[in-house]
Amino acid sequence: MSEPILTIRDLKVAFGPEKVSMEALRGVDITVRRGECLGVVGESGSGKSLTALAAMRLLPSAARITGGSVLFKDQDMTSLSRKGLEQLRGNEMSMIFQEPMTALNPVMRVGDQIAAPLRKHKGLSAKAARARTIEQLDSVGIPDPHRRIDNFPHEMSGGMRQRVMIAMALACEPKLLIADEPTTALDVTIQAQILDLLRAKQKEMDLAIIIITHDFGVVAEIADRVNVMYGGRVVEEAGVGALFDHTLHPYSIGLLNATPTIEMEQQRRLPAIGGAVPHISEMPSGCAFHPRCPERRPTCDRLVPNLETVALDQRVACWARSTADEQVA
Amino acid sequence: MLDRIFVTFSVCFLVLLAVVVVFGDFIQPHDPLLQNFAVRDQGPSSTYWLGTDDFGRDVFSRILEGSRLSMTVGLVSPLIAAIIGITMGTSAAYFGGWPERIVTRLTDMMMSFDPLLLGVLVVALLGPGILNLSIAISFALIPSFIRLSRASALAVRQEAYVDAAIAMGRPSYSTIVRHVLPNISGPLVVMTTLWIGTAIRLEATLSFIGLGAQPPAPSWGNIVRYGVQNIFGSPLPALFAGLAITLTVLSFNILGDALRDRLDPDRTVR
Repeated sequence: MSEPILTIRDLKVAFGPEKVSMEALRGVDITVRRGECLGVVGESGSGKSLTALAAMRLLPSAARITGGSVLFKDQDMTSLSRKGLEQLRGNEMSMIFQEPMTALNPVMRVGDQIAAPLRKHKGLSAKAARARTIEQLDSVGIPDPHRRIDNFPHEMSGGMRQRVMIAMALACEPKLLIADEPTTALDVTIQAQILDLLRAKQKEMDLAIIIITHDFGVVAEIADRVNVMYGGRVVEEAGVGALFDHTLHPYSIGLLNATPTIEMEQQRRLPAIGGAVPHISEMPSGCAFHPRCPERRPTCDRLVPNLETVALDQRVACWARSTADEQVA
Repeated sequence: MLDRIFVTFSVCFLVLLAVVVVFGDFIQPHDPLLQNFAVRDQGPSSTYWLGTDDFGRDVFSRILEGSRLSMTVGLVSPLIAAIIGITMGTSAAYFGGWPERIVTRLTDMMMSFDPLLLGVLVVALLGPGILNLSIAISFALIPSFIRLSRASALAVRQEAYVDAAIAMGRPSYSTIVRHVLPNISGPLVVMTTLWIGTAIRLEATLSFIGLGAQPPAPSWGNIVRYGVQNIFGSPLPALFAGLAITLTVLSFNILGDALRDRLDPDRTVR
């Protein structure tokens, strides 16, 4: 296995002022290794986007990191100065967003937006940056890049804009790309193209990717490993094969069952997980999933389960799967 | 259609005014300060197109000369106010935290005063004169620029492309200049244009009550002031200077409205 490039340890993020703050991330552990693609899955409100934003130190001003560490290579992102962050962002690690419609500045030519990180981080001249931008557009599969470089975002389709975003994020050849639901706003055929592009770039540049999604199809398509998040914690971590063949956490099982498949009977209702994601102000005690869990046990509402290694490439945080005896716990 | 005609007239008038301001020395038929008691309070004639005042000075030349002062104050003050106000407003919106709270509270405080009252206050503190007048008017206009730019910048700050720019390592000031400002420029340009009209009016008002341009230097405001004192000698100076103020302010307002219609993305093009 290659060395870890990003290690998130016990990360806690809270909203609001100190005294009445609400914890949205309650100890997240995520490791991404060089050149691997990690999927992060969960419902809305599970904290997956917040984890990504915290890792980039892009949290909204109402939120703050209250504990834990985010190690990129050997630098702790949580204590890095603004200068240090500016050096890192877009250069060593970068991010693409859900809405390619709004993630590009509408009044700036796409070429200028791609050239900006090149000029800043690589110190290229305007001319060199332009040449590099054209290569970059070409490499993400934009036809006629010489002409497209001077387009404004509104002159491009959604899929093309996401390609431009990828070109911009990868312009300085970063080691890590965080993709926050990069295909959610696109239609299915374009989704597949964008995922293909990301996978090609991953191989070509030995790039580590964190892909945040609620779509198991995307995970199956691209991820090497998967983290399932619920209630601001990682509840299951597994290789992509193990997750689909040997799902352990009741929440992961519920999510997988709720995914529509092409073989299913037409009239059958899609199974759903009862209840809703708890709001961060009323997080249940113990395991956050216990009120909705079909395999609830007496321990579940009292103690928070930790991630336990249950197989070579699988860890799960669930009392119903714990090898430890309940009395011991 | 009627709108178009008004806009055309306004633009033509403002261009003409710009020529008068820049090339005034070559256009003025008489020395605006030259007194000639042989021709006091005369009506319009081929020599004195708009008559003379009670010192026998040519009213037309004085209004042309006065336009320089009025327009300078009218243009410079909103521009200074715009630069300071937009800088403060966008920075406050972008960085947030306690600086934003201080700026917003100060703005609220200043907004509770009428611009005219603020202007009088500043001139009273610094003393009358053109420079102080400009400072006073700028000061009076700053809060509205802060408010508009802050509100617009707050909306743009939420856009994904601002986060994307930061995620690409762009420094704060550069994000503001390249990503925030261009996206809020529409309403700010419109407001600057509209405030030019107001600034001209404020200059006239403050000069009228004796806090602005000091005689013998003519400005539209003090031509009206001394014209009113001598209104029974000759009503023409006050009348024509007042007309100049009205037409100029009206033109800027029409231009501002037209710009607003043009720059408003929600309005369909006709």
